[in-house]
Amino acid sequence: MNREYVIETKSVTKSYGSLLALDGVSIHVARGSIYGLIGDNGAGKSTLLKLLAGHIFAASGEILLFGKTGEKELERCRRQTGTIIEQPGFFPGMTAEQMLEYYRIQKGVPGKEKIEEILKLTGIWEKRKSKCKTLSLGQKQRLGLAIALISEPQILILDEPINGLDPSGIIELRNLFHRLNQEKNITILLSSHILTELQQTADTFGFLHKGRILEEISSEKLMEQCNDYLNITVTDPQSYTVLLEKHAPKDSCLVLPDQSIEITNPMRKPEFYSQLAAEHGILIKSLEQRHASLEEYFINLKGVSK
Amino acid sequence: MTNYIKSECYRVFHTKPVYLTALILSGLTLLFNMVLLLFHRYAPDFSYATTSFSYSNLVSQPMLYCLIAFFIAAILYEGENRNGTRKNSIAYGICRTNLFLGKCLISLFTAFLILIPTMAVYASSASLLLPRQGPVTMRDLFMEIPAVSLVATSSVVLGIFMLELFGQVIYSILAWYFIMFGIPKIIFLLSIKLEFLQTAALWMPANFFTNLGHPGMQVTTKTCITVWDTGAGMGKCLTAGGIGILLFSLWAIAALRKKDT
Repeated sequence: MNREYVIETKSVTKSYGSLLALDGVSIHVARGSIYGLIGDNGAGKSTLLKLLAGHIFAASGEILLFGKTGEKELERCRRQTGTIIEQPGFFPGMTAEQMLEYYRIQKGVPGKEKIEEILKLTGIWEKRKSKCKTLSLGQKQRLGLAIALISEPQILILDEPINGLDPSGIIELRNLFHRLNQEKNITILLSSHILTELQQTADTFGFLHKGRILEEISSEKLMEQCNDYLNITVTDPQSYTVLLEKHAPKDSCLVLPDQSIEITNPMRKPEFYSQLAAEHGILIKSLEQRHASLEEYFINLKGVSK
Repeated sequence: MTNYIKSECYRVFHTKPVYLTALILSGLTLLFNMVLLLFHRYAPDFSYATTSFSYSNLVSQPMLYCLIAFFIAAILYEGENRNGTRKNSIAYGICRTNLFLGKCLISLFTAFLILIPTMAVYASSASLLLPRQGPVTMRDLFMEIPAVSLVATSSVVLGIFMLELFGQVIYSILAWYFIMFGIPKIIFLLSIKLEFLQTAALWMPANFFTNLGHPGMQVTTKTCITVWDTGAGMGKCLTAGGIGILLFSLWAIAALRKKDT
């Protein structure tokens, strides 16, 4: 089934002088998804988001929003998007409430009551009378999000949105993203280099490395690709390997240089492996179960791309 | 663009700089006239304590309007890049040309709002505090406003363009000053040797608002000859301003339309 892409780029290239920031980047963000753009610092994440927001222009390639392209069409489509790129922009002498009113007028949103709703939704209602210059980094991020949300966008484009937030703020924002996505069907494209956070938020991932997209993958596929490992250290690895080949022939075993045995994607529960050793008089020194993280997946992917 | 202008109006009325600028400029004009009054009271031989001298400071320097208009535009928009507010508007789909035109209109509107109390305080304090003597009258002062209006508008257009182009206020001021004052002066100096440049040089406000050319402006304690005294002179002021607006607008639109933020 073809999915409807609300954001799409086709072979987009962008240079800053002699530096090639994006090299033929193509991404596909489906309606209703939370797309996590992953990349190291300088990989081109912000450049790509700036292109989508219209801050900069591509040297070549095509950008589509809601399936439409061309500068005039993109400008029209951007009215249905909310963005925070790099730092949220404010007039330092205005209060949070005034700032939101300013953008409510600019975006032609009817009804002042919207301001209270958005300030409460983003958790800065208490700070509404504070001047923007006095807000903390986390509060600024929330106000930036409030500005992005004031026009009830269909797409949110957020560059490192959890920067400066404390742990509880990160959880609140993550929950807010999920709520906006599920209740209002807002498509969210967010970038981060904090992969553990992205892993908990996004349902699709795009890996950007040195200006190129290495892979786009759904979270389900990623889970399949990120292997489970069982690492067992026993007193007699050779005999135990023979036992495994006989009793668990579908498991892929490898004796590591430290004489521990690594089973990739084990077919049975850890108890089976400990019981097997005990029944044959082999002593288990340690048994460790782990799952390859998004970080490891990304590092592997970067390694392959070299 | 309408919504952008409305939001900028909201900002103008809800932030301090505009009120402060109006207060400072009105205060300075009042202070100036009060100093003249003090001289009038305590130094009877001081011949400059007259309404004419007070008015002549502005009448003899029409380019001051351009400078103040640019200054107001700079106050409104100098922090745009630093604050990151411009990118919000662009990300919302407001095109760069509309942003530029909106900023020009808002700057002019704000400059006009500031001009009203400043001129009211200037003219009323001079006429109330100082003896009404000398060739420069309140009529000259108020006729100057329509005469320089379009030139000052072109100054704002250029100023906003420079602010958008360079992002940093210091470079914008230098570039603006060079274009508004430097180039006319250079062309005037060249026209002394190269006659074909003479007409162009004398159509540039920074030149024809001075005593350069024939007859040139002469605003002294004894005479008051301004460019806008005659219909032709007023026409020249307005035409030069109009050309400036057109030229700087087209240049700005061409340069900013595809400029990365």
